[in-house]
Amino acid sequence: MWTCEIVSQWRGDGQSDETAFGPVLAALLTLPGEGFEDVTGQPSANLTPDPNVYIVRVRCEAATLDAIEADSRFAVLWSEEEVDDAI
Amino acid sequence: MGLLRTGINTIGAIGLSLMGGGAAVMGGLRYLLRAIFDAANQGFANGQVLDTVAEGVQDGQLTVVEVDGTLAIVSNECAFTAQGTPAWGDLGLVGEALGGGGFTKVLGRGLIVTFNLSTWEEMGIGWHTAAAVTDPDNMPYAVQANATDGRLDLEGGTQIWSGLALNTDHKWIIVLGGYNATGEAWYTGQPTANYVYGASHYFYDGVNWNLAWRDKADNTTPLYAIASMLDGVGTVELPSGIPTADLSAVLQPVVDDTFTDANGTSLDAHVKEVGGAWTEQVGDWDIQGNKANPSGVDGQVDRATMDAAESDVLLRVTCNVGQSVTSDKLGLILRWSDVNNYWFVWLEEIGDFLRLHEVNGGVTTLRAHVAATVNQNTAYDVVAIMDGQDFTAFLDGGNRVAYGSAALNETETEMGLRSKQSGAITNNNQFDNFHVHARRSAIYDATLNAV
Repeated sequence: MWTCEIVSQWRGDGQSDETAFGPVLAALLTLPGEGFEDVTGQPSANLTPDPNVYIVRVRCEAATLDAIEADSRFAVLWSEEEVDDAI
Repeated sequence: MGLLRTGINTIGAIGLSLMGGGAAVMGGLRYLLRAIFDAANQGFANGQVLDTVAEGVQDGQLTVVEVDGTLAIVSNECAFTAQGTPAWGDLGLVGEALGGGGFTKVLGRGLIVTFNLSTWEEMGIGWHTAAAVTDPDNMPYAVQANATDGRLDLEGGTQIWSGLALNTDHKWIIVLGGYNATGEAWYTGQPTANYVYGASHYFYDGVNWNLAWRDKADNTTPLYAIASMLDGVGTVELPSGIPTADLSAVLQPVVDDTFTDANGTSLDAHVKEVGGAWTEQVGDWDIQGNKANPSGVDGQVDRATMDAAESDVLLRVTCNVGQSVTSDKLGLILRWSDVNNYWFVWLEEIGDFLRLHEVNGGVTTLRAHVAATVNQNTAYDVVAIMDGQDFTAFLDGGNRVAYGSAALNETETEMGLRSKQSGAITNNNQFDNFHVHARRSAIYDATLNAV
């Protein structure tokens, strides 16, 4: 697994569960254990369409990170592989 | 503290740990006193202050008491050799007021000793006042061995353990603990006199240990309740007046609902085991099969809430994913104020995920997501932890979502259930075992660490 922070566009209109505001890249995080956390702390009430971006901290597999890096909609700020320390 | 009266018995190490300005820190423990007696063989004089490594003391100091016997370092242990029949206080090492070592009896401090009894004698550790070594203050303990076994006594004659072997190293740990008048536990660094209840814990070797705990009637009455274990078989001795409710008050949930009621009972008429009434915010909820059962109206987001009286809580619920044609979603409502302002954590069978959403002014925002397999007609354990603006939630103790800026409704105490199914519904989503624990209890940190 990799941990990274990524700039992503918003999607949705916030009017329902299915159309909630959220990062576009959420759709790419489908492998077990992959996920994201909003680290902007931006209140929903302050969401604006322009600029339509925010930052999420992501945990994902290497293949998913490769796909994100190859996608021009996203900008990877940093990434680090999770390595178990020897006990 | 005193280490008192014995035949030719030894102490391998003494440590007094935790807190204190200027204390040494070794191996993660902060020692006010540490004596491992790893020094050259030597005898001690009555009244001698031991405060150097050459005298066997790494940190702090001990004062030798040899009124009726002698002490010496022999083979890296402190050997006690009695002369006659020493009374309590006539032979030993003193580390508190008598010796001026600088540490006092306060909550949170621990005393660790390794000892070995070679003959039928008595040996003990404990806290007591300088004026009354035979009437120790709160923490009097003795180990007494005869030809075949021994026992661990509280001063005053209450035997709490037997089976102590001679010529064997034993480790003995006492930690002073207590509750204040409002039931808050384990305040470190406080004089025991300020506490309504006191407690002391004793652990004995690997498989043989004792736990002492009791009501503290005053500042000079021994404190004890006893749970002992010998070779894996535990027994409990509870003196009268033990405030067991104090412990349970910490561990018991503030809300507990197993939804045990007759089929068809409306949820807002159902009485929980612990906690107040449910409010059906959206949809008609009832009890079916001892589970909370939402309306089952196609496409409707059913919501039911109740007041947990706490905003920083751990919620745990069993989510029984039902079966519909399009999607089955269900989860927990957190910090609800109205239908347009609250949080919810939910799992979805079609999307295969656990998510945390914020509903703020009617606008819904996805704050955290983790992919996880969610199947129809399957039960899942969902836990949500709220601590100030930090939210964390887990699915079956593993998959985790978190968000650290949950400013909305930070002090709201209304929590609840949320369900939505779409398309023809074969089986309703259902909920069971709804529990809320106040976040003030440390058990939630343990829960966090366990996943």
